[in-house]
Amino acid sequence: MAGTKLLVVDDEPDAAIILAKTLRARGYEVHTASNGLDAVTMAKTLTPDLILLDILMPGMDGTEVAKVLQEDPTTRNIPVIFLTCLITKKTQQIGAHYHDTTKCTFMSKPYDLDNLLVEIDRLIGAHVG
Amino acid sequence: MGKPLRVLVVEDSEDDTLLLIRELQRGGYEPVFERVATEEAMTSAIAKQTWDIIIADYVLPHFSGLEALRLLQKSGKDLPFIVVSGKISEEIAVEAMKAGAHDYMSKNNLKRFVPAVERELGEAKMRRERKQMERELAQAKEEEFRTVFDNAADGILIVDTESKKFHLGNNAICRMLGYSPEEIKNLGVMDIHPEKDLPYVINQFERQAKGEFSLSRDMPVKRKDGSVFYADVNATTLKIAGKIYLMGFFHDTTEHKNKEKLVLDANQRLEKVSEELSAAKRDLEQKNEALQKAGSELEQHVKERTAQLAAANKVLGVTQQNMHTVIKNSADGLLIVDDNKIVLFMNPAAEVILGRKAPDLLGEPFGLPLTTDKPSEVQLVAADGSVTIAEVQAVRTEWENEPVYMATIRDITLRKKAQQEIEAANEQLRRFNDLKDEFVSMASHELRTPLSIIIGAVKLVLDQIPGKIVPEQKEVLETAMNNLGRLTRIVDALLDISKIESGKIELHKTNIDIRGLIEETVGECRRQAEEKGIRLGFRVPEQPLDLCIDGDKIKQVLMNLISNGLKFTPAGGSIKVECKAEQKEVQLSVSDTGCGIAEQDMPRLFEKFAQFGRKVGPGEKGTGLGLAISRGIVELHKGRIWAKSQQGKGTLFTFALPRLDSRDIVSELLEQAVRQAVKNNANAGVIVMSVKAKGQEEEEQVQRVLKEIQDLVEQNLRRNTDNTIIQNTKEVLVVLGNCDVAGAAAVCQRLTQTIECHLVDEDLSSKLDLLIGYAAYPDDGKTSQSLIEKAREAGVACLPSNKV
Repeated sequence: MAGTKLLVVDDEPDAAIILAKTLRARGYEVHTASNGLDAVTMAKTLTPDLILLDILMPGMDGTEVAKVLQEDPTTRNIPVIFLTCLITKKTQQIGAHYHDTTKCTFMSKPYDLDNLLVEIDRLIGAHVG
Repeated sequence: MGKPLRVLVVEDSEDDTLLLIRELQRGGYEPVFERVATEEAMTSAIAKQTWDIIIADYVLPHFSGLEALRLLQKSGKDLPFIVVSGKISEEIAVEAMKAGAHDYMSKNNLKRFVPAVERELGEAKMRRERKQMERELAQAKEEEFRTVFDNAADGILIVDTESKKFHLGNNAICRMLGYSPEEIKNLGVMDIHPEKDLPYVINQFERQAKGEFSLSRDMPVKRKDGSVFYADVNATTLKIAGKIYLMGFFHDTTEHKNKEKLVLDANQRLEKVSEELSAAKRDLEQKNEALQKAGSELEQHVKERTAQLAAANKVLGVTQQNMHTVIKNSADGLLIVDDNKIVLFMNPAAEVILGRKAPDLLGEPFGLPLTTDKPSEVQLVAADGSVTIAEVQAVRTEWENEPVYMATIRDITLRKKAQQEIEAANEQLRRFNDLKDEFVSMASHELRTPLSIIIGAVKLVLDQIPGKIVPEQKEVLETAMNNLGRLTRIVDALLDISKIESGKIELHKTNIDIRGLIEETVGECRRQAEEKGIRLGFRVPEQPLDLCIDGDKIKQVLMNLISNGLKFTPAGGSIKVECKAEQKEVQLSVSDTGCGIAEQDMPRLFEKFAQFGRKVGPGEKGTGLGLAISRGIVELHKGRIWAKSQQGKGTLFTFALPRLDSRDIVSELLEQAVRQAVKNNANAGVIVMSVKAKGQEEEEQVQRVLKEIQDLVEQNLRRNTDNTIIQNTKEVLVVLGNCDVAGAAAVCQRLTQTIECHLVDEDLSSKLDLLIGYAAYPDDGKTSQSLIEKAREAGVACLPSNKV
C-alpha cells in the first residue's frame, strides 16, 4: 500500500480535499486535479496506480477524460473508479470503452467508504496482477 | 389309182395292221403306212414325217391308244385319230372320245372303218381351211386394227399384265407422253405416273386386269419432261399369242377437269350463298319471334310495375316526407356531385358550411376533394375572412340511375380546436414531466454533492485523522452521521420514486437464483436485527430457483420490507423471510410479529408519503416512500405486492414475481441487451455453446458438464451486462451486453480455451463434442431470435481429440 499513487479528480474542491484526506490517512499518496485538462496532464506525468474520476464536471467531463486516457498507451491501463451522482446515458456509454470490470467501476456519491477501499484494492491488485 | 394316204398305225399286231391297210385299199386309198408299237417309235415317226391320219389300237403291250393320243396332242398337229380296238365297251369308247379321239370302233366290225376315215379326213380338211381363213381374217383384222390403233385420237397403250411393261403404244400416247414409239417399248406403268400416285395407279391397273371395271377416272400421268396431266383410262384385256395384255385408252381430261372444277366451284359458291340466305332467313324469323315475345312480356311487366309503383308510392308518400325532413334538417352537409364534379343537389346544411347558397352552386363544379376511403380535411375561407375547417367524405351511389358521388361535409372547426388544445396541453405536460425529471435529477445531484462531502468530512473526524476526539465529541458526530445517512436515503428515495413514476427506470435483468439474493439480504440485516434483539430467519426451497430479475432492485424491495419489519417489531419478536415457488410465479414474503397496521391505513399502504402515526425508535424515521418504491419495482417486474396485517399481532408482506421458462429468459435478456444496444447505438452479442455426448453412456454427463460450463463461464465473465443461461438443457447461452463482433469473438475464444482445458482435465474430451458459436447485433442479426440462430449455426466444434 505504501507508495501507491492515486489521482482524485473532482471539480468540487471540498469533495477532493475530504476524499484526499481520507485516503492519505490510509497510507495512499494522493494527488488532486480539479478539471479534466489537468487530470489528463497529471495522469500522463504521474502515471498513478488508480484514478478516482468525478463524471459531472464543467468543460471536459469525466467521460471525455476517460476517452483521452484510453487513447494514450501510457495511461490506457490505469484502472478508474468513476464517482457520480448520476447514472445517465452518457455515463452508461463509458462502459463501451471498458469491456472489462478489472479496469473500472462506478460508484455513486455519497459513497460507502469501506466499499470504496475494497474497490481500490481490487482494481489495483488486478492491474498489477 | 387310189388316193394317197399316209397312215400311222399304232398296233403291235402286224396282221391287224395289214387288215386295216387292205380295207383302206378296198376303200380306194393308196395307203403309205408305218406301224409303231412304242412311244419312242411313234415320237420319231411323227417328227420324221407328215401324216394324214393315225389309227391306234387301245391296248398294246408297251403302249396304249390314250398315250398315243396324248403324244399327238402334244405335238400340236391336228390329225384325225381313230381308235380300232379288239375290246369294245362303252366305257372305253367314252374314255377315248373324252380324251380327244375322233372315232372308235371294233376290230371285228370294220364295216364302218373306211367311212369313218373318210369322214374324219374330210373334217380335218375343213378344220385346216377354217384355220387358214381365220389366220387371213386375223391378218386383215390386224391391219385394220393397226390403222385404227395408229390413228386413234386417244392414246392407247398395250401393257403386259404380268410385267406391267409396255408392249405397244400408239402415236397419240407417244405425243401425249412425249416419248417416241421405240422409247415407249422400253417403259412400263411405273414410268409414266407420279411416284406418289403409283400405289393407286397399280391398284387400279390390277383390278382392271382382273376385269373388275374398265374405267379409271382422272389418273395422274407424268410426261417425259416431268409435267403431269390427268386422263381417264378405259382398259380392256387383250390376248395376244396366248399372253394377256391390258389395252388402255387414255383420254386427256385436264381441260375437261378444269372446266369441271370451275363448274363445281361455282356450284359450291351457289350452294353456300343459298345456305347463307336460308340461315339469314331463319335468323330473322327467330328474331321476329323473340321480339314479339319480348313485346308481350314488356306489356305484362309494365302492367305489374305500374301496380307496384302505385302501391309503393302510397307507402313512399309517407316516408318520402320523412326523408325530406332528415335531409333538410341534417347538421351535416349533403351534396350530390356527378362524375364531372358538377353539383346536382345540396342540402341547407351544406349551404351553411360552404357559405354559399344552393342556386349559386347547383350546376357549378364542386371544388373540394371527393375521397371515398377516408375523409379529407379542407379549409374554407369565408368572404369575411373567417376560417372553417371541414371534413369531406364521399360515397359512390346512384342518382336518377347515373353514378354519382354523395359527399358529406362536416364542420369540424370546434373539434379541431379542441384537438389542438389537447395536443398543446399534452405537449406542455410532457415538457413539464421532462422538466420535473431534470429538476429531480439535478436536485438530487446538487443535494448529493455537499452531502457526500459532509459525510466524508465527519467520517474523517470520527476516524480521528485530524486528531483525537473525546467521547462526547464522538457522540455528537455520530448523531450527525446518522442524520446524514437519513438525508442520503431520502434523496435516493426521491430520485427512485420520481424515476418510477415517470417510467424512466430501466431494469437490468439477469438470471439469478433468488435464494442467494434472499440469503445475502438477510445477512446484511442480521447485525441490525441482533442489535434490536429480533430473531431474523429465512426459509428457501431446496432446488435452485432462477428468476429473471433486476437483482439490485429486488434486493431493495426485500431490504425495504425487512427494515420495515425491524422498525415495527419490538425486541423479542421475529421476522421471517420466505420464498415459495408456484407454477407460474415465485412468492416472496416477509412476516413479522410486530404491531401490525390499522385497518383504516391499509388502503393507502403503498402510497407515497403515507407515514402512519407510530412510535418509532431514534433514527428510524423512514422516508415515507419505501413501500411506494417497492410497489413500483415489483410492478415493473410485472409482479404484484400485497399485505395482510392484524393489529397487535403482526404483518405479512408478500410479493410475487412471474417465472419465465428458460426460453423466455433468454429472449428477455437478449432483448434487453439488444434494446440497450439500439438505444445507445452500440452492440450486443450472444454466444451459444452446446455439448453433445458421443455415446449413450455420456448422456448423463452432458447435464453435469453444461452446469460446469455455466459456472466456468460465469466466473470468467466480468461485466454485469453479461448473463449465462442454460437453455433447453442442451445449450449454454451467454448474453453479452454492449459487445460487438470482435468483442464477442474475443470472449468466445477465451471461454473456449477455458472450457477445453476444463474438459481435458476431466478427461471428457474424447467423450463429448463441444460446439461454440457467436453472433452480434447488428452485424449478424437484428432480433434476439435471429442472433441466437446465427450463433448456433456458426457453432464450431472445438474439442481437440486430434488437436496437438
